[in-house]
Amino acid sequence: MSGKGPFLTLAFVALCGAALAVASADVSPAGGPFDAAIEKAQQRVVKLYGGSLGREKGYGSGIVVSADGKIVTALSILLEGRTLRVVLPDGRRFPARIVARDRHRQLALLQIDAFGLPCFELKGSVHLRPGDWLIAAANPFKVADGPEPVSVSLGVLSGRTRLAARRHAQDFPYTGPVLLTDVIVATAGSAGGALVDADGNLVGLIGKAVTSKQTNTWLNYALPVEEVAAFLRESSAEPGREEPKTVGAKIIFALPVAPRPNLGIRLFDVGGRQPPPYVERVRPDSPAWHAGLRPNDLILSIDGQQVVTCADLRKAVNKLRPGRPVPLVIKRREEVVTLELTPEEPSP
Amino acid sequence: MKCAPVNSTELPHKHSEVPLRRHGRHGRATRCASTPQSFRSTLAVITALACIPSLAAQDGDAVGTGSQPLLRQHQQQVFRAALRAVRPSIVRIDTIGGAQPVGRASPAGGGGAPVFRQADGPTTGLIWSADGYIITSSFNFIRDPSIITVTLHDGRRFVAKLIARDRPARLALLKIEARGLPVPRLLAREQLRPGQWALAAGCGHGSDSPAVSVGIVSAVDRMSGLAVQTDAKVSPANYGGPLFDLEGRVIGVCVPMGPGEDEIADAQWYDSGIGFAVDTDLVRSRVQRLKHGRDLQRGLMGVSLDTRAPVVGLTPKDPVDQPPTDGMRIDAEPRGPAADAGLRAGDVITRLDGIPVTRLPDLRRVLARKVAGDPLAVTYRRSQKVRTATLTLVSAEAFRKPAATQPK
Repeated sequence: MSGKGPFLTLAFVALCGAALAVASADVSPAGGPFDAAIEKAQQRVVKLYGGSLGREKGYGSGIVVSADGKIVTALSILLEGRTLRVVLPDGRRFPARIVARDRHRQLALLQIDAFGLPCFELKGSVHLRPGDWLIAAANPFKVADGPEPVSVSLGVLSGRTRLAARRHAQDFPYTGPVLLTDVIVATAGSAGGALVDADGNLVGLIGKAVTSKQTNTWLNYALPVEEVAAFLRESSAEPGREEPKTVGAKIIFALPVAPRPNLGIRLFDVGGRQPPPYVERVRPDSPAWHAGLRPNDLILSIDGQQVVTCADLRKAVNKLRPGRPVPLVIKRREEVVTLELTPEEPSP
Repeated sequence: MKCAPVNSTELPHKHSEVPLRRHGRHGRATRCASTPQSFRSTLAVITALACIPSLAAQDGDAVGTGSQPLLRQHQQQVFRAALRAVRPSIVRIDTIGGAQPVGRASPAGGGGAPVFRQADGPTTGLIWSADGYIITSSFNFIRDPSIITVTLHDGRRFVAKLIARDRPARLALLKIEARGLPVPRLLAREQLRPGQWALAAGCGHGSDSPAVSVGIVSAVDRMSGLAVQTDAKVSPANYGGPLFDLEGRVIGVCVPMGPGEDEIADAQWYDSGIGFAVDTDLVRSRVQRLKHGRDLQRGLMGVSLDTRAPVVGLTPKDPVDQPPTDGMRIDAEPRGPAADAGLRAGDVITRLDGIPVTRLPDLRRVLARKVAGDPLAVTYRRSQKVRTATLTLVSAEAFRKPAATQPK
């Protein structure tokens, strides 16, 4: 994919340029239809140059979020180099320092010593519906390698989902909401760039290139602007906060200590790699028994959470609150049946 | 200017009947501040109605600068309306169990081909008939799942039966025990034009509403006539889902097609700006056959052909080993159906089913729409005499040596 990426970007820019030229000749002396949005976005997206390592490229994109030089970008190896340089849309270059990192959202806040910069307002993305125009402004493949503004591409909002992704065969830490788009932004250097609506308002920050666990394809997505705003709030609440550097170290998350709710079932967990959650036995008078679950039922979802394997089911059950009834969808022979199940406290 | 999202029924007819062309993507606008709200809300309808006179007034002056905000806004509303129109016919498919996916190395040894083995999300299907037939892509069942469920737009979930797969067209037919399902409107192949808007939608990302991508029809007659080509993003996220027009009419069913011989290899073209959908005419004819419950395979004749292109500009004195210009010469002793029908090496095939075939693409076009078991009328020339024969196409399986076809 990375092979044809630059060509596509260039082709699209060329196409766009041609169409705009036609439009300006026939339609409006003021220029193209998305001019205002494009200009607004390009003035607020910067190019980043830093360290590189193996497959990780030493360049990226960032968005200006304050007139006094605050820039948000995606966490990346390029920030860990000896130098980190920001190139503004007007061509000026500044050294940058890292003010805060967010390992979960995979974001970083940078500071440069500049003032009076045009900056994005972090308003919201909820007004967007699938099919609405989006423009990506970023520097994929560092095509904009001089002082010029970054590349723009046009597409629509595809939809929204929660991220379930891998990067380099490892689970990607961010699992929150994302905007999906049909603009191809899963390209080297695009991470940290802006996704704006047809008016040039920031709606999302292009995330690091990841592959979806659900489709196993590269995902074209952005963190909603609300997540970027939350990151800024959290980092300004604790100014100077920077999580300890853990480059190269594996981050171990603390496991929840809450007791596992008890359903009273045993699964056909016969081993193998990913056995589906078939019910083998139901303990009489248990929550599952009261819900009407029977042996040989296959559990499809619990509390709205799809489960495909026994492991999925255990994970989903761990999230349940004892005493709160939840829908349990099962397959029984050739029928899909919805039961109601109330988990109980685990027996000591 | 105040404006609100409108329902498709509120759109002026002009815009729903005349597809906006690609240039329309560049309509200029300042966007209306619309707040999230239900399209069905009375408020939206009232506001929308209030909007229409001003839209209509601008239509006469559609090229003026002042209309560009409306045009752009309008396009978004049309996209939303198109998705709403087709949405009830899009179903989510979940598969459970079956052979666990095994990594497949790139057949060409290129090493760069993606290996689709770890996807565990849902896939997409399209309601084909009110009595429970669902058309989708065979890509979604590569793992041979033991259980398939289908979730309708209204949330009802059914256990589905995989009736049969169509290997050449990458389709699959499912059946659920349901009645009165919302069938989408279809667009016939002859109504398709390159450049018309095309949207693709699919459930692969797992959220409640399908994800949509917007593009145009790039070509109507690709992959030997099996598929419509589009630059809307077609990927595992929407294989089996519809490609549809601005009115929500189905153009085709999204499938992986590409340089490979199977679905996995073909899926590597996703995100390239080149996507494919099987047109509704072909889907209709294939569904008829899939209903019988037998998988459809590529149909082969059993001939090997001289595929050299004729050299132009030869003089009568030049050597005469020149491929024929009016057909394709059989260059080795035929096997299977062709041999049974009496064809021999050196015969020149001039027509298949009455259609002239002078080059390999001609032949592929005729064969692409046929499958193993279909009859094929062959017109051929042998020593200046034109003859005809009818043979029955067979699958590649028929040519394998017995050892290879033994039960696994």
